[in-house]
Amino acid sequence: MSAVFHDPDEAVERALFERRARVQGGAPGVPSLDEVLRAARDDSGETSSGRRRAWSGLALAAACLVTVIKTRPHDVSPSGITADVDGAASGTTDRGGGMCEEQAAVSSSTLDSTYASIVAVAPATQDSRACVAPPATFESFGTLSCDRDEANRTEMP
Amino acid sequence: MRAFFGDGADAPDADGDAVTLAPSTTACDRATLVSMYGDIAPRVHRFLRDLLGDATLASDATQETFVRAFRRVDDLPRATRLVPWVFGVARFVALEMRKARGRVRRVIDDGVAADDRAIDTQARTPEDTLLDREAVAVVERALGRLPEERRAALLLRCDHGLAYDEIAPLMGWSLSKVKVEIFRAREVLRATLQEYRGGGT
Repeated sequence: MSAVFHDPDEAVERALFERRARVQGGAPGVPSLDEVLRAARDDSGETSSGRRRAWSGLALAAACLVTVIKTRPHDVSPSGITADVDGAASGTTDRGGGMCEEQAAVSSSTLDSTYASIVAVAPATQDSRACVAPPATFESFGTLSCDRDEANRTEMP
Repeated sequence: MRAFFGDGADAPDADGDAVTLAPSTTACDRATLVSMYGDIAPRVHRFLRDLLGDATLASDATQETFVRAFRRVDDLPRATRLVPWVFGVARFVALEMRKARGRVRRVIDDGVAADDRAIDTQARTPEDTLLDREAVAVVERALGRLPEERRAALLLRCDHGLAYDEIAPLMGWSLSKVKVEIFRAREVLRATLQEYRGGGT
């Protein structure tokens, strides 16, 4: 194999490249030595681009975290809501059941718009679930009960 | 270029182990790099332009290469050969730039146009001008046909005169792989030259 690489024709390739290099001799765009030395001096030490990127990434992450914490709905303190609901419920309704008391308290409370929007969403979703669920359970329950009745009838005599 | 490889007698032989660099290149320090800059910077720029296919990008890459080189040169072992090491830094910078900016298509026509301008400005015989034009066209076309790593190996060997055993660690290849890759690249270059001459006559 080494005989192949001793091919003297490599001189042809080298001559081509040499001619091309001569043509491209004074290539524009080569930075000056001063420029490079200045950049090497400015870019060294504490202000390397890697560290700059790391710090800016960290700052961005911290900013995102603060934004998320500030805008989270969980920040509404549950103890404050409970206190309002309990107070209203004890004053206006009887103690028939927990659910009834809570709904009455919500409708008559004076929560601000943020609390009201949070509380108003919950009953709506419960209603929609209630509308969808009953037909399915009714159908399936009916067929099951018929089968059971047939079985009971055959065993009776 | 002559300062590093002499007038042909000092150029690497076919074995790739006979590179005789000028004595100044054996010292590995900042002062040596400063003194070599005027000779080596255009070569590194050409190497990066051939790898990246964009002269503007190559300028940025050249600056980044030498910024890194000047920051690290004083920490190198004394046995380090400075020219191959700088080309190694340049190749690493080219890989980083390509990764950062996505795959860069070689813009061969742009390079040929620029080379044509350079050819026209020189006072040469018509035959020389024709041969220059042929050399530029053939090399550019062949480089465009080569995969990136093989192209880099061919450039380091035939354009910049590095020895096989200098190219191997630079590319992260074994010595035998370097030889095979360069051999195949040379085949493409020769085929391109044949096509060019066949088409031209």
